Amino acid sequence: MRSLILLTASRLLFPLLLLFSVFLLLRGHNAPGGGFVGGLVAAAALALHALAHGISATRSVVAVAPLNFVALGLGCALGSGLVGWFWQQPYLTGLWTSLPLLGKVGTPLLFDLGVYLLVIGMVAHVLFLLWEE
Amino acid sequence: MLAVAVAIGFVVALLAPWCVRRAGAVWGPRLLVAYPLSVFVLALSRGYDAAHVEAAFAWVPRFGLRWSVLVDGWSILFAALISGIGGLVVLYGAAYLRHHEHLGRFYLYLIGFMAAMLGVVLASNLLLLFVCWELTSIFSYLLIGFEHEDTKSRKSALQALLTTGVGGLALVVACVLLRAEFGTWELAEMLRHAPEWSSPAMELATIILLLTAAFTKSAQFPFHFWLPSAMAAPTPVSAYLHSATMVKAGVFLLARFYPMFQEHWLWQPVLLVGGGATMFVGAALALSQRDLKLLLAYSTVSALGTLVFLLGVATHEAVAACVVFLVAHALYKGGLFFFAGIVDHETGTRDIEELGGLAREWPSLAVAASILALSMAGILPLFGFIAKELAYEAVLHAGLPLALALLVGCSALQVAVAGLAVARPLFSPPGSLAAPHHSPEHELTLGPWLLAAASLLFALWPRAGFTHLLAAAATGIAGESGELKLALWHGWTPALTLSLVTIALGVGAFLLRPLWTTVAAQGTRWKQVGPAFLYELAVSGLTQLAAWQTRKLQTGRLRQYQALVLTTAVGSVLLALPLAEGALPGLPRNGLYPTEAAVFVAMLAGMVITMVTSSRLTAIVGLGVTGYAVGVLFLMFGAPDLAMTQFAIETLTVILFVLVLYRLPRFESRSTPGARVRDAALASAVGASIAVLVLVLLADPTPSALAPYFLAHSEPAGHGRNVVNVILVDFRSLDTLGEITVLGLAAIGVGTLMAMRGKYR
Amino acid sequence: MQAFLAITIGCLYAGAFYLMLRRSIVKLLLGLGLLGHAANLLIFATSGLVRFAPIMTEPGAATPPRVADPVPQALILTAIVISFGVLAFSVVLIKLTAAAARTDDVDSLRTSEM
Repeated sequence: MRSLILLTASRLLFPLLLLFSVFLLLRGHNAPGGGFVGGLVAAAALALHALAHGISATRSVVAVAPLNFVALGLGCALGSGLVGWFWQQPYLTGLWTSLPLLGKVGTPLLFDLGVYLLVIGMVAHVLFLLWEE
Repeated sequence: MLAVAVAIGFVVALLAPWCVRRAGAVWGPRLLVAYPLSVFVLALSRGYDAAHVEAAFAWVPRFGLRWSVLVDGWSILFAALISGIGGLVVLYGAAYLRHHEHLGRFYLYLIGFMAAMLGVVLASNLLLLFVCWELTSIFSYLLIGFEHEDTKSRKSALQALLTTGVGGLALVVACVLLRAEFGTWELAEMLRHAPEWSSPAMELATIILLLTAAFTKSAQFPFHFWLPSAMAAPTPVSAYLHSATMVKAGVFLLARFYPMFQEHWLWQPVLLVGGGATMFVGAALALSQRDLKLLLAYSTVSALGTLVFLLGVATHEAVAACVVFLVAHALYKGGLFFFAGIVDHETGTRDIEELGGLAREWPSLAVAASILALSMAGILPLFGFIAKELAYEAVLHAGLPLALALLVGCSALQVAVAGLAVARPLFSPPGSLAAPHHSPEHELTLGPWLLAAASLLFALWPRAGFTHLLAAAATGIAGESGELKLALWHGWTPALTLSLVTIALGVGAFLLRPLWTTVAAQGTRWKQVGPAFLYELAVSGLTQLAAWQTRKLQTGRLRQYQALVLTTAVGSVLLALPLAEGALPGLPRNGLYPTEAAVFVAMLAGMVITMVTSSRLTAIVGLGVTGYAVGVLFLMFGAPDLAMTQFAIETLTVILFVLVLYRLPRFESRSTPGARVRDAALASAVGASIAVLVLVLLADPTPSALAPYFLAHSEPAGHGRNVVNVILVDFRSLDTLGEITVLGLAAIGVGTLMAMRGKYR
Repeated sequence: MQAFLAITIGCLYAGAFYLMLRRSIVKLLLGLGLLGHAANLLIFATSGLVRFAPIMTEPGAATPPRVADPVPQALILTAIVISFGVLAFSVVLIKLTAAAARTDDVDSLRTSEM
């Protein structure tokens, strides 16, 4: 059931959606968006890709098992809390600094990145498994 | 010091098994004796003339729980009894249970009990008293059930625990009421100024609760049945807990509150009647027993009744008599239990019909046992005699002729019981079975000998120090000092005449016992309605109730659980509804925009489609419609983050359902129309309750107190202008961390389930 | 508007529970999904409902007078995602249960052992 329309749309939309998800993640702190939404949009992009190209193609695009994203995301979130310890702050204290080029960055961004990765991993893991049934 | 000694007891108890293992079954207990011995010396070295509170240290300061020790004659007397007899029991138990595989465990329980019991009698802090009181019940449970492989043993242990447990509950409530009235947990302060109670009802409740606690613990009628059952414990335990110490805790408690309540109208009648009934029932039942331990157990019940009865007489003289009787009883009954244990241990039977001629085998033990029995019978020149004389005098002077007659009658029965317990096994012709295999060890006979010697010496030479302690104990109870003269010979007094009458009656009862047992055999029918039977009924009723409600509630049917939960929810909303009175008129009215109406309609339309369709695909589409409508609503009310999340999730949910759709079973119509109507009614009721709840909430929209804080600090502290996101990743990031962990686990769970699927194909 | 919202939420709850009380296990699943929506709306309703309210603070600007309460929103946001996770788990669980027990009748799924 390959549909030409879907295939074409997917070629165009898949990178766009992924880009959009990163955009949502990065602007989330100041405007609507954030890790949860970003992750979901990215997962939706993967689902679109799987619909158009089939699940094995999507697997190879993702390259690693989605569960790794879950682990990585959880690691990011946990690790972002540890940063504060080096400055004698309680666990998960948000710390900010200004870097050249990047502007303001802080541990909450790292935390949000963790959420983003974990949500992608979770949704993708579940959908892929059900897809392959 | 004493507070520390009590605390050390628990440590010693914990070390006891190790000590027994390392030092062996002979030397281990001998080392452990050091604890009761040092407590004995320590207690008697205190100055106890004036009641005072000793070195208290905080345990749980927040609850007012302190280790504070109230030192007066009464508590010191008890502490001396507990540690003195305790020391003997530790030695006796070593010989009695030498080859028992759980000897270490035995000492853990025994020393633990000792410390707890010391805590009960020494505590000034009511919470500490309660904790120790419950600990004695628990150790008693463990000790009665020591032979835990025996069903009867376990059953008796549970019976004792439940009965005394009821008393424990009553005690804790009484303690709370006392705290509420006096504003302190310290017993010493309460007793110092016993004021008028602010409410008579509260005073009455406190008294009833304290009486319940004391009556259950001290096996007073109608709670006496647990004590004979408790004889399933090893004999050293019976001698210690169920004769000399723990069962007297109830008496101790009553005596402690004597100054506070003795003038209350309920006090005297209940103690007189309850104590009198116990005294009589115990003595009468004792006479018909064949088992040596049961015989002693029932006579203990009777003696406990006498103690309560004397407190009920409520004169200073009677209180003094109570103190003296308590000591006399602890001495002779402890000794007699030791004797019963030796008989059981050496001959293998406790049936007095089978035993006989033991005096020839064990002449020296026979002397000791005879002294103890004579003391129990209240015969000159033993301590039991003095105690009985004092009791007679007190009741005589109080002018209670009926009570006096009862006391004399029961004492006569005790004479007969003493004869049965000792004279029968020692001096009657040897029975067929009862050839003692070997003579008892010294460690076994040490206890009876020392206690017999004490019964004799205290009577012959009532030394000043000893008399002083008893008098101080009476003072400690009554709160006012009075004189106490211990003498064997008071001259020819009415009490002496009564003593002679008692002995004559007792000998008569001893001789007429065969007749009595026949009558008692007839009376076994009455067991059908006795308190023990009622206890059984209550316990089995409770189990049946539990089984019934489990059957009804835990049906294993998911739908019934749901129905139950929902019904409860509706019921609680209905109950709380009157509280929300007046909320509805306050509902803000700001009109309904057509767009909003359209969103509501879409939500409900989606829901209806989901509910009525028979196609699975249509049902999922319906669910999606509702979800998107919810998202639109979020967007309309200033929640773009939610709207975006909702749209994304809704898309993914539809994909998820579509992926599994054709592997899911088709819908089938199973429910009967009646069931549909019933479910619909229940669901509508829940919906209506929720709707009312929302209305009440909206009528009084209290913004969360956190909102202003988050709004104000989002930019300066969180470096972000999207407050929702700042809350998620900064202010409440630990919550979010937990939530994403759940998500990760859900993913792993799905993976695991899918991996398992091959197993069930 | 408030009254209509309340009634809508009530209806959603009623529909969700009606579906959950059906014997077909798939309807239980649909009811669960519906219940998620209803619950999120309920929490949202407690935030007081401010029409067209901003949830952002302008840089440097004072707090606007009428803003939506962000606390329930933060709660709901995670709830939405978590309910997806739970739903996914339930879908798989129910699918496997139905396959293993060879029935989708909730009433005949009484034993906990296979």
